[in-house]
Amino acid sequence: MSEPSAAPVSADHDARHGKTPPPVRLANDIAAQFRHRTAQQAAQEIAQHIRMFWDPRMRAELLRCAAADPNSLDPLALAASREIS
Amino acid sequence: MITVYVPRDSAAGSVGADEVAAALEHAAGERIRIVRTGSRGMLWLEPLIEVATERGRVGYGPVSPRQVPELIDAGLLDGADHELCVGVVAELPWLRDQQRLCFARVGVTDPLSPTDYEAHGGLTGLRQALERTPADVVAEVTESGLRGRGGAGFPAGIKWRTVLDTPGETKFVCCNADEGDSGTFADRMLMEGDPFCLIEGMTIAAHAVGASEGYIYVRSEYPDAVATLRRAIDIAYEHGWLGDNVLGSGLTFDLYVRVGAGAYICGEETSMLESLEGKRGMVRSKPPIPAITGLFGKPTVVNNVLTLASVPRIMADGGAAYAEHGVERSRGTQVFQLAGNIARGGVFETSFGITLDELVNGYGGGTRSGRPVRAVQVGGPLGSYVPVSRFDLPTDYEAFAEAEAMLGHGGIVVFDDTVDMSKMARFAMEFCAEESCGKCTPCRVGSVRGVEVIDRITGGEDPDGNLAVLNDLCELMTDGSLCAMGGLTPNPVRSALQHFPDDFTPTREQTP
Amino acid sequence: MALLKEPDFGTPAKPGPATVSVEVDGHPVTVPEGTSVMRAAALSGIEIPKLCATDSLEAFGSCRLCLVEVDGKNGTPASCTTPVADGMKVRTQTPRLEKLRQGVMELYISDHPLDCLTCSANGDCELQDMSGIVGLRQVRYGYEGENHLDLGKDTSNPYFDFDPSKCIACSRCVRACGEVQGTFALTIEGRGFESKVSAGAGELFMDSECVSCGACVQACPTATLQEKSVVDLGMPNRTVLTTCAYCGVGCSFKAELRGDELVRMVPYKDGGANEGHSCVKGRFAFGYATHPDRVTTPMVRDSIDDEWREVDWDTAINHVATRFRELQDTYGQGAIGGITSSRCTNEEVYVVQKMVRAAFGNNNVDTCARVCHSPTGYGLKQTFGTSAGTQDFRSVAAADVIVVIGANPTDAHPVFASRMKRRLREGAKLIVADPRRIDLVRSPYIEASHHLQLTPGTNVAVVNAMAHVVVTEGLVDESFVADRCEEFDAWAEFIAREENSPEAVEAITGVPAEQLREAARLYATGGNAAIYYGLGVTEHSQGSTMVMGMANLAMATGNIGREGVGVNPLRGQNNVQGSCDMGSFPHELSGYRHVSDDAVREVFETLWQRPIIPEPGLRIPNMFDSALDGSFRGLFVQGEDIAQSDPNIQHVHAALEAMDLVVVQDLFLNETAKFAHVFLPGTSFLEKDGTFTNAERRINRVRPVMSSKTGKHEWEVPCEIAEAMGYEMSYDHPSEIMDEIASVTPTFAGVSFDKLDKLGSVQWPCNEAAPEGTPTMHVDAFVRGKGKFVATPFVATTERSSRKFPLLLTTGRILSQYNVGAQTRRTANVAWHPEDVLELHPHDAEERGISDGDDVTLSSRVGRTHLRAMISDRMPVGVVYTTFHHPDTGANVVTTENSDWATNCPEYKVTAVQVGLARHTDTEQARAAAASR
Repeated sequence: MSEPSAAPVSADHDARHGKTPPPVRLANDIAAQFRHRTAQQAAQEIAQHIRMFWDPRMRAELLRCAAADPNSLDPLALAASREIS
Repeated sequence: MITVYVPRDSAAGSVGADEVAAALEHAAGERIRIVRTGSRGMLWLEPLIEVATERGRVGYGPVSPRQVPELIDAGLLDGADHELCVGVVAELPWLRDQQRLCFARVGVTDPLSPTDYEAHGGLTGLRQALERTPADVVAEVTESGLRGRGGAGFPAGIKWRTVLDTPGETKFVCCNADEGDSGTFADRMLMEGDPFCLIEGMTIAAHAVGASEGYIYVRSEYPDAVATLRRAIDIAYEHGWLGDNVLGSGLTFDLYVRVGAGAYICGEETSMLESLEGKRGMVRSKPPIPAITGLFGKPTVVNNVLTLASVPRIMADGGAAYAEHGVERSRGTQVFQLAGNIARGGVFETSFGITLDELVNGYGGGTRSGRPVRAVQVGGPLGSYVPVSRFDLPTDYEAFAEAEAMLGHGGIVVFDDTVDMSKMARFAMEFCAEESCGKCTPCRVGSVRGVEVIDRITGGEDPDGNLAVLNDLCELMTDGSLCAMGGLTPNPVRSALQHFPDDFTPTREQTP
Repeated sequence: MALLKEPDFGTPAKPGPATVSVEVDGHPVTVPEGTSVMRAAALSGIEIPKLCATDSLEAFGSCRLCLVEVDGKNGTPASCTTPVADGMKVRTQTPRLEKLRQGVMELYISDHPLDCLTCSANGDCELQDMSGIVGLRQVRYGYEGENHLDLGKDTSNPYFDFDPSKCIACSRCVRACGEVQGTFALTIEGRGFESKVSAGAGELFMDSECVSCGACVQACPTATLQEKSVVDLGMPNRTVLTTCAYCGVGCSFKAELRGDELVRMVPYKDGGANEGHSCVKGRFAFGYATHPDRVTTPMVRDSIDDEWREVDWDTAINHVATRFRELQDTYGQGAIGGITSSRCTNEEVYVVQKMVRAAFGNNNVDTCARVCHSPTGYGLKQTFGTSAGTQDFRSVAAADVIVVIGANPTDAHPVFASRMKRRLREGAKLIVADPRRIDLVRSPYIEASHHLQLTPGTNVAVVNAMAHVVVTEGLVDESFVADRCEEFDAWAEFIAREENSPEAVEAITGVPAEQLREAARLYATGGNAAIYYGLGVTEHSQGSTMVMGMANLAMATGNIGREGVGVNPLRGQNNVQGSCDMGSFPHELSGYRHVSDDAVREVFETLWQRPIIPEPGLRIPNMFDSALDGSFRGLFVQGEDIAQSDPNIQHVHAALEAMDLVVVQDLFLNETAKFAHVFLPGTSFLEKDGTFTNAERRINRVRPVMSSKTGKHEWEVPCEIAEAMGYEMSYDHPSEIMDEIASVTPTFAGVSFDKLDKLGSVQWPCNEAAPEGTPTMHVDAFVRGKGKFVATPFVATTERSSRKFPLLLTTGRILSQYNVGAQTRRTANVAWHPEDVLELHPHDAEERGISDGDDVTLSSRVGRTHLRAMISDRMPVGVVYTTFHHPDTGANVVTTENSDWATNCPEYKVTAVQVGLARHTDTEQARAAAASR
């Protein structure tokens, strides 16, 4: 498919979207919703959500990312990943 | 300063009243005060000017602007005699013999002077009404025996009772001023000559039924009435007669004028409501009746101008006093309008019961052409033709109904012996075809076929067969039409056929 | 069945407990108060002749055929406009009435062409019928009089003709356009004999406001308004009752055929969802089913660069089964998955998810609802306990305040919109929350009390602020909350915080605080308040949060659990509700039961004789991510064009290209088929036998109108793939699939084809407790017991306008086209919407030198596409809008991978973009590219 009318503008990709592994991005999206909770409650609820809705291979990938690059994760998401493991 | 009264009524205006007023101003401006009034209703005398004298108001008419200097020279300002002088106007038999309850101020006062209005008894009825409960007011109107003056003659008190008893936060009072019947002009003369009276009547109605908003639906052919009403409403607001706290009573009543767009059918009350809602003027089927489901679906009083304008006097004097006038179930006064081929045409308000003969040949003076009267049409273009042989008929709703005629809005149109009644019958169908809203089949298609069938009859084409078709059609239109438009169109046709069958034979058509 | 002629009682039913007893021609009959004499007579078996009356319209009283006599009364009132009164004795057959009726017919026929034998309505003409019934034998007026026989035809509408020479001026079309459809496009022009039906001010139908819903054609008693298909093909002679396959309203239709040829689709009066109404799509746009583009033979290829090879079904199915097993053998059991379609029947969906769970042995099944209403499922389940709307459509007639959030019902759910508009014309108040001024905001006889024109992406801030007003101004329904709900206090503490006040969020949402306060007060105190919402709620990064926010608001004000209230998703596709109900989500088995629930799994494992994994599988976007990381290699996609409809298309294309086996089952070679290795032909709704479940949980029957064009029922295909993969899965008839669904799903326990055939439709839950279904949910208690308040903090999307992309793009649909347009673009509906356009505010246009009709580029941080500009003051400054019905529009070239935090429903409704005038070469290239596709 040649698509001059619909060309990707890869230069405009912002780093958050372009390079972040999907499980990290998705976990951070979830974490953002639980800031009104105490850190402990939030971690538990995020972990529970991930257990309920994520395929095991994504959870494993999240744990791998958490170990490899903990700074890429929202602190609440990071705490949640510890709950999961 | 001498007060000179010159009508501002548009009938008087059409024969030069404004020019006469200007000529008076020009000739004697510094000596006189000109008061523009409504018309006295003696249209053959218009422009009729009146001069205030010690004897009373002395009249001159018909006056042309050219004659003004001569009249002044002749002593008009002193009420001097002249060939145009008719004497003290109030003593003319035409006026003296009337019982002017509704038209009491018309032609007498300045229609837009609140002072005049109150000085001549205005607001007495409203003040009385506001002292009393709505139910009391309705009872008073019921006791008066007042019936709808628009034509149908439905008891106003019963209608008001229905609106009062129908629950609803929003109710309306609508005045039907779409006066479209041929030979009628009383609504217009009242609106131009005494608009406060209508405003007062509508305000009383609003209090009586719990309405907070009113509309006066005026036909577009009445620009002067519209302007007068609008000005009068402004004045009424300025004086606290309308608005948030009418005469300090706490009553809220807002009143608006709406102008029609030239359709006769909008004089039919449900079409009028459609038109007021901004829709095309098309008849609604009843039920539901407007008293329960009216304007914008709310309980609504719909009354004619004269019905509402009769109410202030009823409240002022009491229903019983009003009911003393009239005969049988037709109580109070009727404002007759004499028109057509008549020597003395105009407005004649008198108690029900007067005969056609007294009105037409007596006060009206017979035909203007001087030829014998052949028939009159009473009640507008859908009214029956009444032959001279029935001129003994008293003007009473039920007596007319029994004679297969109707009083309608009180218009009487006179024809002399040259009239071809088959043409009048054809005209009735043609009028219906022209003015039908088109909703129901008998009226929409029937009226067109009616014209065609009458043409066949007068053209000599199977007259007997086509007369049978015409009779069937009339029956269908009478029984089957949705509203009075199609339902009454057979009246003139059948009465013409009944009383003047010879006019429908082709031989007559062929004689020159 | 033979051609179904529904009874017409002449005037609408009058609901109400009070009854009146009357006698019609000596037959006693008892009817509700307010019933017309005509209807009472019809109910007692006596048909009074009529022409202007039909029971879908209020009585009009114009034809004067239905006159009757009433004992003790003068005159001959019209029976349609005369209500019955207790003890009334009516006569419908007397010599006087016969004469009047003949008189009326004589007038009609004196102005009507005498071409019955060659007329397209011959046999289906009420004028013809009435002539016979009243015994008209002559027209004494002759035919030479004034008439309308010379008036010319208007053939401008692609689906129906207007022949005014046959018009009897009964106004049924005009009234239907107003009363039923609510568009008021038609009027009577002229007066008296000159009265003439007119679309607008003497315009052609196509140039007028007409929305081609067909209500006028339906209402016309003669051939004046007639389907072109009837003119071309002749009168149908048999009927199949079925259900429309466009939007989630789920209209019931009579498919009328002549032999095996479908002549027309006529809305069915007994249809629970539509009650005899339709829209331009369901009524007319069915021609795609026989479009030459249909592919009816299976095809395979080794690589997506190869040409397709037609094969027989066995070859195709064996190829798929073998390749899937190979992929599982090489990459693991979880390396493949399937996507079910909301376009397919419940039975078809059920077998696909069963194939995945039992034959593939994993939970990698998802459905296209992922990209539309998955947040509805999540949000309503969390708060109320079940993933569905609370009301039936009829409920809107009892609403006093209607809130429409992120939905455009007049375009996307037109038949429901007509119901809603009817209620609004009756005086219900309307609150619209939408960045764009949708038609509903101001339409004939309707004006929204409040149009909250919020900035895209700020729904949650708006709903929170409304709830803040309710809580802080003492408008909470305390007893409802105390009796029926839980966790209120914590929520109330959260929502009462100053950060949630209308004043605090005004700068974020753009909605004036005072207006928002008034809207909240109206919602809380205006009587029955009902919320209707669409994808403008769900397709956001906080889609699920917003659904819960609306649920909170409804609970706090006690607007749940009775007629006229509720929280109601307007579902996009015909079977979104059903496909979700059937266990299409990777974490849920049918009836929304989590795979981790041992008891639930046991039911399925026992019946299916296979273990079910207790862990959730992959969602659609996860499938794409996993395809790119190499762990997901094979996909079965049924009836969804993911390569066009899913966001961030470049990413989707890359994922599809990375897979080893993509199997597409569809009607047409769609965009996704370009990435497929196997194409399996699907069936249209006209060939299907099964059920659809609409937005009100109503299970409707879909019955085959024609035999399958592919030689196979669509439900057979997954069964055969499963069998070829070694898992026994066979049914003789789709009713057996429904029986299985009923046996494993408590909310469907009472559902069977037999029951549906008997009752017409049922709304789930349908079981022992509710054998005839459940129109209103949560009446005495919530499904989860107590309704649960959930705190819903507003978290702004990361997608926001910037210097480089200063505008926000939002998307929607148009009446005449449907979603990606695969069907509607293959019908005459293209007459209304030949291309998608970019709507933008005059100010934004002027700033960029853009004029109406200019070609413009639309670019976001992920892609760029071309569109034609349409300058429109419906748009607020800073927001642009387009539809996505045409593939070359490429709206999803610019949408991002952002998604709802809870469900990964894409954030279609907010994309930061820039718009600029296209250079000429860009435009030419774009055209060429579009043509090549």
